[in-house]
Amino acid sequence: MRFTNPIGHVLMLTAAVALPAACNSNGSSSLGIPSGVTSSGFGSVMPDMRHPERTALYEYVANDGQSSSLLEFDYPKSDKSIGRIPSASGLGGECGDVLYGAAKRYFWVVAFNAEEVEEFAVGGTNPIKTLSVKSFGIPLGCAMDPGTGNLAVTIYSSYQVVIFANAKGPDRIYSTPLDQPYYDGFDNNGNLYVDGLYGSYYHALVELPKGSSTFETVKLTNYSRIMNAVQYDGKYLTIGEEAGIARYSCSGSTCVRKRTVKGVTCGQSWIGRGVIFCPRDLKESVEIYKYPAGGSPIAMLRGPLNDPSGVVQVSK
Amino acid sequence: MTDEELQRFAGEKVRLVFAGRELTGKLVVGIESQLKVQAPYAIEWYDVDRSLGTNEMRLAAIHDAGAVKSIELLDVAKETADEIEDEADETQTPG
Repeated sequence: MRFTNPIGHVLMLTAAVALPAACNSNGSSSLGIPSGVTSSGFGSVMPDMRHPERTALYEYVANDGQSSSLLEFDYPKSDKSIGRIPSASGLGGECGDVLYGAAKRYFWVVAFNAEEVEEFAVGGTNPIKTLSVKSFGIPLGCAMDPGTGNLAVTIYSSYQVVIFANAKGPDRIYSTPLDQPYYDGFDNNGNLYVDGLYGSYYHALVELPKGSSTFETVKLTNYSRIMNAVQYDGKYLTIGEEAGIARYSCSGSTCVRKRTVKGVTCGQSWIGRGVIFCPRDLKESVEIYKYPAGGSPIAMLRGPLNDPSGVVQVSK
Repeated sequence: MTDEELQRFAGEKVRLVFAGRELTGKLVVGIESQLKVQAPYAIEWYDVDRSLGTNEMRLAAIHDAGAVKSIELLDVAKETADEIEDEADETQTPG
């Protein structure tokens, strides 16, 4: 799909991808690496027959603007698409009501052509809720604070972030020091982090501390030439960088890079339990890696996908 | 070449030299480049093989502006006219 960005260039953007999660017999989500999966195992993903409840997964992947749909997967039962949800238009990032792992039944998809975010339920075929950001601009990423249910949407075409209280409203707009906010993520304390372009070519990370109405620039101990998905992984704040997923320990307005999950480079990735889902635009697939080990992909979801750009894991 | 210098050609059709190659195409930057090639810049060029009749779009990642040795903005109108002229020459039957 195409949209015109604020500086007048036609920007080719991809679709979103939503993956889902495992749901075990006691209702808690758990997606582990199935025993049959090997490090060289593209297309050889085997169901975990010892734990059949683990295969009750639903995963969703969005295709590009040509088809404007989400593709559904049930990895690790299979690496083939099990369904398609038409509706969303021009798909960007995705998010759910957890910091990482499997969102509980519902998930959100950014539809940048329509300038809105849409909520879907696992197994549904139409959005159950739509929140418009038309008055602010073109959205790209989203994140939800599980503590409050607040939904934060980055406005790529401006320097702003919109937060919908309890994912309903009223919305509140926040200015950031960034020129083009890309992706966002909450940490376990309810602080919101957003990355993006600062000026024409520098990237930066900014933070909206919980309870504050002012974004602050975060000092990073290392500089990356690109910044993609922002997500808390249960221990560290992660940022998709050129060399992989960088894991930062943050305190106050400083984040110290601790380690990098090498080999995992993509747009809006999603960290599950023990794995990370990585949409690969030019490869027209979603690669799955062990997390935080990284390295080579252990599986690949193909669809067919056309320019996937977002993903989320959701349990039924 | 610096980031600032390269950024001036964002979205433009250019001829550039990097990694020992001369490529002609659109300079892709920002989030589009990030998502497609996980690099701050890329050049979108077409691999044309007239003998095979193929014309495939390719993206070459540019991870560092410093790797670009030279860059020039193309005169799109002149390029188009030259291409039409070349094609006309090739399709003419001798004699």
